[in-house]
Amino acid sequence: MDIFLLEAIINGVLLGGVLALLALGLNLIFGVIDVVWIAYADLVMCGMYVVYLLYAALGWPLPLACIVAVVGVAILGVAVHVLIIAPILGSAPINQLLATGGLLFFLQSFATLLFGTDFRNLGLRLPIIEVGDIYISSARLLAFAMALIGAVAIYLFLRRTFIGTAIRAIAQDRDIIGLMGVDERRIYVITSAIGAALAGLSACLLALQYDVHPFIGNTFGPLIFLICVLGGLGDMIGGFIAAFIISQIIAIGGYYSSTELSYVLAFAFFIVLMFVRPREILVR
Amino acid sequence: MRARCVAYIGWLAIVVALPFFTQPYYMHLLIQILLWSFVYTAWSIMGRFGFVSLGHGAFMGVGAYVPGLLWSYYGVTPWAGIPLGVLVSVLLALIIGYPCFRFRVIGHYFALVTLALGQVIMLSIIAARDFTGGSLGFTLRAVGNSWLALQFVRRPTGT
Amino acid sequence: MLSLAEVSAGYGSFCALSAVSLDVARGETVGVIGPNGAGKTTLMRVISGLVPLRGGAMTLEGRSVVGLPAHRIVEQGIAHVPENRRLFPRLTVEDNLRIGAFMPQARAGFAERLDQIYNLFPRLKERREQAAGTLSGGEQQMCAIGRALMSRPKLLLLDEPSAGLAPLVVAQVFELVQRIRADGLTVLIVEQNVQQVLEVVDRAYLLEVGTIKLAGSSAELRDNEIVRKAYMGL
Repeated sequence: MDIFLLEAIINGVLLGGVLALLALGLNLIFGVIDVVWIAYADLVMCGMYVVYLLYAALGWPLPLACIVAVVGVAILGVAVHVLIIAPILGSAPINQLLATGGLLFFLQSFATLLFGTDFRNLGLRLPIIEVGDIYISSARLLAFAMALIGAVAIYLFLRRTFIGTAIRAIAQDRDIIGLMGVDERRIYVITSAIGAALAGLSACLLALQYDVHPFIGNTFGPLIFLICVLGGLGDMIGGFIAAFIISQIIAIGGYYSSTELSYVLAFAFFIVLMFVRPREILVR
Repeated sequence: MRARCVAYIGWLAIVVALPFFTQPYYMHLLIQILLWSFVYTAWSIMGRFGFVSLGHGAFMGVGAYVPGLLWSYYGVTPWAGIPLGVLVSVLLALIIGYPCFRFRVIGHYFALVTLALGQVIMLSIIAARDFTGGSLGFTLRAVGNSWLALQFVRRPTGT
Repeated sequence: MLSLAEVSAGYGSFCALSAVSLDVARGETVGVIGPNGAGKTTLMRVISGLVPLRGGAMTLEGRSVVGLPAHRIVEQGIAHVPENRRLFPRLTVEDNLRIGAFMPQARAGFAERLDQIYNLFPRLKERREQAAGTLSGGEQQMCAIGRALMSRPKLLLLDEPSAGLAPLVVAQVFELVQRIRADGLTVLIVEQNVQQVLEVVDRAYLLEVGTIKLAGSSAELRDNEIVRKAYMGL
């Protein structure tokens, strides 16, 4: 096999890691609370700015900056739920879409106000690892490893703890969850915090590799939604797998043609799949 | 009925008279308002039927690039180019809309298919950068004053 | 222990229960019988807090439980086994039982309680890792009851436990109710299967169109003309 193709495939897998983490967070929130946070990618953007601010501008140690970013975005997520989502939980889905859409513009404008539209970089130059003839960015490798750890942590949490079990249960039968002694509002808040924390973690991992600017959410936001839908909205395992499928399409497509066309291919693939997939997955 | 007709004519008269009095910047704002109301109306027609289209920009983009590219590269007058742009938009809508209808893609899924469509169109335009100018945008070939090209260099009225 | 006085409740403009009064004393097993649409399930949901009261009073051991949300009522010691079981289909049997013990008070003794429930329902223990949605009807009912028992309730509400089950399985379920009863648990059962339920309960109420039409010991109701004609086909 062509060595560059192999390199592209490996990079695809590494890219898939962070996308999978983001898909996990979005699916968690949708599966449990039944809302789509249109502004999810912009929470990531906020996290990236926090890391940039603390590490590059204020000189804090990187791990500390990341931890603060994760916690900060988690708190932001709770605020989003309590202030924006909870009041409109019962109303039509379009209201939720518009409310979180409004939040998207708010966050982007606020970031522009604070930081301007310049691209900001952490200034990190992590080494490139050489494996045979393949060059792999260690930043990317680190991001992938952390993403996997995050995914496993979430998995164990959902599987083994009482709250995790309650989160899985609410997604399956919201009506009677109160009969189990579960306060569903509390679970929603906890889920929002976890979903946002995953966004925060992804922000740290992305900040290692990419520049941050107020509109960076627009670059991977649609992609994340598509990945979630592809895997089945709310289906965490499906989203996880879909993330890697899409990232492979992008990586391999990018190898054979330009970056934009590889994304076009991924999106077109998604559209076609939406038409072709069996009925029971489409009609939710 | 009578009162309404009078009201409409009154409004029309105001709108026609405005360019003669208004400063260019406010005129610009008013034009933007009208344009975006128009776009919003198009979007809300879908909303009426419960469809949220997150990729409506795709149709705007097509409607803008088709006449623009046709004029700059092939000298096709916008008078023909604009209807052609509308036609291409409609075709695009059919290409996406018919399968959505056929395969019952609705709700969240429909919204995201349109989102994907928006991305596809945007990225395709960027990818064809040699032709379209990519992310830098596209400037029309200028020919000064010309009704044929719908270009007006010197403002005939206004301040 | 549980006392309802002139309770009214409904959905929207529909009034499902009007001026319902009933009592359940500690250690008793009480039944509520009646036709479809009488309001039996609404009654259960009002007691367990899923449906709000519109009028009347409701007390548990003397304390008012009106207006408490469902998860608080569970903490007070009332566990509700919903109509149609309502297990979490993609969770395992053990996870379903686990969620039954979600209450902080119940979590402490979770492992011990789980063992007790498995002793009560050996079949569940065999299938502990199986997805609850794949169990047979009878097994699901066992699991649902087990799930409710995980919170060590004082009062168990059973909503139509025999619904959709084969006769042999129904007998097993009622046998189970007898056992639970013998352990001293207070039980309120809502049932359409009048014959079976009257053999298990001490007292019963007849609920029709949202009001209590009859009340008495199970023997009295069994001998009652209306009950025999309309509900037992005799």
